[in-house]
Amino acid sequence: MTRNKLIVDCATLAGKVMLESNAESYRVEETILKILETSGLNVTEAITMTTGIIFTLDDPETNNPPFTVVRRIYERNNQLRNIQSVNNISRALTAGQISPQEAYDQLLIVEGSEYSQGIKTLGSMFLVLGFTILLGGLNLKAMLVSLFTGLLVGSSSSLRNRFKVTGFLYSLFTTTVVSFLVYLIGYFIDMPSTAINIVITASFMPMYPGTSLTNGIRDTLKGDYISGVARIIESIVVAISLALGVAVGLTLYNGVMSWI
Amino acid sequence: MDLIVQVIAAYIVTVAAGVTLESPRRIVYRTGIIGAVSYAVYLILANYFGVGQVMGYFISCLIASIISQFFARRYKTAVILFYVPTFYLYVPGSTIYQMAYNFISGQPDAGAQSLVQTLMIAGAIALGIFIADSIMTIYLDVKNRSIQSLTKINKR
Repeated sequence: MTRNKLIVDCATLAGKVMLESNAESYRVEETILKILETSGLNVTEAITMTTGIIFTLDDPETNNPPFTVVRRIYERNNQLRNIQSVNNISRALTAGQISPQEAYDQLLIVEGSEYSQGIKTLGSMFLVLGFTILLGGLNLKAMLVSLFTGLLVGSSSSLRNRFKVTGFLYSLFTTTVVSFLVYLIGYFIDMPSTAINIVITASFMPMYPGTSLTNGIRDTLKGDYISGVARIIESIVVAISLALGVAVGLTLYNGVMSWI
Repeated sequence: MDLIVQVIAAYIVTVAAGVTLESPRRIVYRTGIIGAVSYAVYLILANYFGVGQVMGYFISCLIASIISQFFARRYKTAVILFYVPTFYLYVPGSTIYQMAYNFISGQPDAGAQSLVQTLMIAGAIALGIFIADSIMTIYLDVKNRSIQSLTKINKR
C-alpha cells in the first residue's frame, strides 16, 4: 500500500468516526485536510455534510490519478470521547510524531466506551433529576418519579442498539411509554399537574437533540449551509417526535382513565 | 439558598450530560464547573438585575464559551467536549417541546409564541458561541502576528 493511499485511508477513517460521533462539520473538514496535507501533495479538498464526506487528494503535476473518497454517514450519536481520540491521533500524525501506519492502526480501535452501561444509566437518572430541580420541581414526589423515568430512558437507549429502529420511531415509542407511565403514576400518588408537566419535560432532556440545534446554527453562521440546515431539521424532527409521543401518551392515559 | 440548590443542580446536570455523552473522566468534572458558573451568572442576572431570559442566556453562554475556550487550550482537548454538556442547560428543550405540543393539540397561537421563544433562545446561544469563537480567533491571530514581528526584529 503506498504511503499516499495509507494517508487517504487515515483521513477516511478519521472523518467517518468524527462525523458519526457528531463533531462539527468544519472540524471534520479541517482534520481531513490536515491529514491529507501530510502527504505533501498540492490539491487537498474536503466537503463535509452532516450525511456524508467527500474529499480528494491530487497532484496535478504528475499523471497519477487523484484519490477521491465518498462515504455516507447514516447515524450520528454524540460520542465526545471518540472526537477527542481522533483529534489527538490526527495531531500526532500532522506533527510527525507517529507514522501513517501507526495512525491507521490507532484509528481502527478508537471507538469504544468510556463508561459502563450502568454508569451511563445512572448519569441519565441524575440528568433528569437535575432538570426537574432546575425547572422548579423541588418536591420529593417529583424527584423520585424523575429518577424512575431517568432509569427508563437510560436503559431504553441500550435496547435501541439491539432492535435497530430508526431515531424517529425510537423517540416516539420511548416518549409514549414514559409519558403514559408518568401520568399514571402521577394520578396514583397524587401529584399536582404542574409537577407532572415538569417531570415529563425533564424526562426527555437526555433524548433531546439540543446540541444538534446549536451546532446547526453554529455551522450556518460559519457559512456551511448544508450541514447547518440538515442539523436544524434533524433536531426539529426529533422534537416533533417527542411532542407527538407525549400527546399519544396523554391520549392513552385519558382513554385508560375513562375506562376505569 | 434556593439559588445555591439551582447552581448545584446545574453542576449535576452538566456532569451527568457529560457522562451520557461519554466525555472522558478527567474532563467531565471540569465541564461541570463551567456549567455551574455560567448558570450562577444567569441566576444572578435574572433575579437581581431583572434581565430577561434571552439576554441572560446570551450573556451566560458567552461567558461559558470563553471559559470553555481557555479550558480547551489548557487541557489540550477539542472545545466541543466542553461546549456540548454545558449547553445542555441552555438549549431550548422545553420550549421546542411546548411548541410542537401546542401545534399538535390545536393551539397554533401558543405554538407560534413558543416557536419564537425557541428561535430567540437558540439564536442567543449560537451568537454567544460565535462571538467567543471569533474573539479567540482574533486573539490568536494578533498573538501570532506579534510573535512574527518580534522574530523579524530579532533577525535584524
